[in-house]
Amino acid sequence: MAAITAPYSSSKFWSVRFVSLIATFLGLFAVQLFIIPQLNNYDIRILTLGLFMATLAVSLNIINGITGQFSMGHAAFYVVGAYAGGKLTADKFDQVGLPPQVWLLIAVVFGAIVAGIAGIVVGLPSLRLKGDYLAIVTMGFGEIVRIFINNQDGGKQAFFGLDLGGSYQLKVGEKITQFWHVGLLLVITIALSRNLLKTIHGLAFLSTREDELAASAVGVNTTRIKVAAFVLGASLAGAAGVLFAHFNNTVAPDDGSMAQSFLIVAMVVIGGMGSITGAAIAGFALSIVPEALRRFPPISAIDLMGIVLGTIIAVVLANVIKKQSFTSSKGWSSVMTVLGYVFCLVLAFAAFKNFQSSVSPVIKGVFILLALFTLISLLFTKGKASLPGFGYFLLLLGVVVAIKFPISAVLHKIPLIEDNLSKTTYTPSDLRWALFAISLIVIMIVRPQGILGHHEWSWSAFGKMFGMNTPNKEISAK
Amino acid sequence: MSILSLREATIRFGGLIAVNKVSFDLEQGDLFGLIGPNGAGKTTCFNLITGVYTPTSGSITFKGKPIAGQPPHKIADLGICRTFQNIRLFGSLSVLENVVVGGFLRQQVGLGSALTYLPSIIKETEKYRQKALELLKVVSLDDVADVRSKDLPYGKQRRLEIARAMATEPDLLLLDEPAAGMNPQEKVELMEDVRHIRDEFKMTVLLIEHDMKFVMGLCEKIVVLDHGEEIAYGRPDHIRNDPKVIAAYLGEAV
Repeated sequence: MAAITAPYSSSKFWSVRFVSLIATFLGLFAVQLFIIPQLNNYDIRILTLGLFMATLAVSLNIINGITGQFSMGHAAFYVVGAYAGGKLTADKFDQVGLPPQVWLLIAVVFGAIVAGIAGIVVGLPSLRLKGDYLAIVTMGFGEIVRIFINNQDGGKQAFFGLDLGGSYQLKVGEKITQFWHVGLLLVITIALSRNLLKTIHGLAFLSTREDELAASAVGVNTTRIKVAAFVLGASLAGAAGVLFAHFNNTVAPDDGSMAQSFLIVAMVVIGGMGSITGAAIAGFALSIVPEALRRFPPISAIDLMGIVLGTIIAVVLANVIKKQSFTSSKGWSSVMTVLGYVFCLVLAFAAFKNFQSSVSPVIKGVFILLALFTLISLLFTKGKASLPGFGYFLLLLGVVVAIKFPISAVLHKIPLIEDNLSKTTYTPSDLRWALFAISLIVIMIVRPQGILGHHEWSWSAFGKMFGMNTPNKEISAK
Repeated sequence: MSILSLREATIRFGGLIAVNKVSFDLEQGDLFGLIGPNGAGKTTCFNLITGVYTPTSGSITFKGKPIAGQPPHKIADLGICRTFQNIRLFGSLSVLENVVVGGFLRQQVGLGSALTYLPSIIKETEKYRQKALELLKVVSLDDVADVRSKDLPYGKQRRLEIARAMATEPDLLLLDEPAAGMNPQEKVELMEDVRHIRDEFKMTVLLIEHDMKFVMGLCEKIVVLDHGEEIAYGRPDHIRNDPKVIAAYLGEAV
């Protein structure tokens, strides 16, 4: 959690902010100009949708994570924004004749305002409701929005004869949104959340989450804070909705379905309630990974069982090894370091091989990132400490692979399994929701506070995960 | 003129009269004790003053203005702040952050401008951070400023609650059993601290406490409640010998 810390000196402020603004714009433009043209439409769509989900997760985090108001209707704000902006473009874009990008900005502002008003409407019941009860009310709000839009087909039953395409869809007619627009909105959403948490206002939001009575006793108007959180989160989601409408060209009522809202809540919970970066990472990953799974070839059921059993055995083994005394010896550490080097080299090699092949750029990107990390680990003394951890990971990976074959062979011998499952194969993409559910269960058992908990992402924390020490921090602590 | 005065303040919950026609006055700079057996209505009294409950009848005036029925944050804004009997800190925030929240009332920053995080906002935030650090020194918690408040030992949590309440710059500080769960040594230190707060920060202090030694040693005036009714009012030595008070605490002779 971003905390109240000693600030930069003011003289440094403008240079720091200026540089980070320029870097953000340059980075987004560079991606738009150089990387996006290299990708096919499908990949661009997947990546952009990933950014949309990340934006939604971060904006929901303001309501759910920071202010602690459990909202389950976030997709409704998204869809309200999408319809507001989309309808504006469908009706007025041709008549006004502004340049598309300027028009998009107007549409985004309009959609954000409309969604913000929806946020007030939902925020008001939150004054009296808490926890589960508020969740139910917000869920109800999501359904009302969906059903309302379903019936706005310009016919007799429509409200003021409003034509939003009814249950079919609204045709926007303009595909203005580009990848970098969504990237920019995500950056803005993250920046606003972060700024909020660095001020006393942010503390007021957090205190409302922690203890409403105590917060009001020290003078925090919890009513206003809660409504403000809803308005802020809703208008950011609405802005994302407008961009989505101009990205997808059509909006359907089901884009704001309850399932979508659940997914966004799951992202915030997995990322860690109140963690901005956690929400962003979880939002992006949870929408990318299921799609990346489509690229994998079908796998036979028995092989899958072998892998699952192998993983379980490896995890058990890891726990057994951890308790042995030899793990703290120097020999073990150096063996693991060598293995770590091997792992890094394998990764680098795989990245090199994959860069030329036609696999998904998403997988390529992951490999490139890992290769970069490898390079950093090999080059700097600080990183060397993480190598035994890498080696240990490789050892367990090797155990899984090695164990998989005998397990599969044994499974083939069992008549019941052989007869019923030997011909069954699964496509990984069909398993993506099962995988999603299982990972949700595992995370909730292993780390109920979410992957990042109340913390924010930082490289030093990432290093610590692999046993890296961070000398800088220790000095500042003294 | 008295800073706080209750006039026949009464609250009923259904058939139960939790506080019945309680009247007392606090002068500026008083160290005032509110005592009574369990269930006497002391905390309910605090809840009436701080706006958690609205009195069924009677009036409460603070600096000459009626405050009964105002929401708690308004009352905090007027200059009354309290601590809680069952500690209510913002558990996952750090000790320092718990105190900085108190500055929310007094800062001159709107939500819109806070989101920009411009240098003026940073300056304002820094001002209240420094103030909070000073308050932590007053209650000698400055060495644990970065610790999560949930992880503090009990006695320190109580002192942190006092610091958080002081951060709202109140004129009247309500302490609900500040010494509960403290050992004798800590209680002596707390007495010193409370006196110091009253003298240094010019705050009026109204406190609830069960520890008679603590109350008699610290407070200059005391009100005794029993079953929601005021049974005695006066100086400690007067209270100590009041037969009604002795009866309330020890039971009447048969």
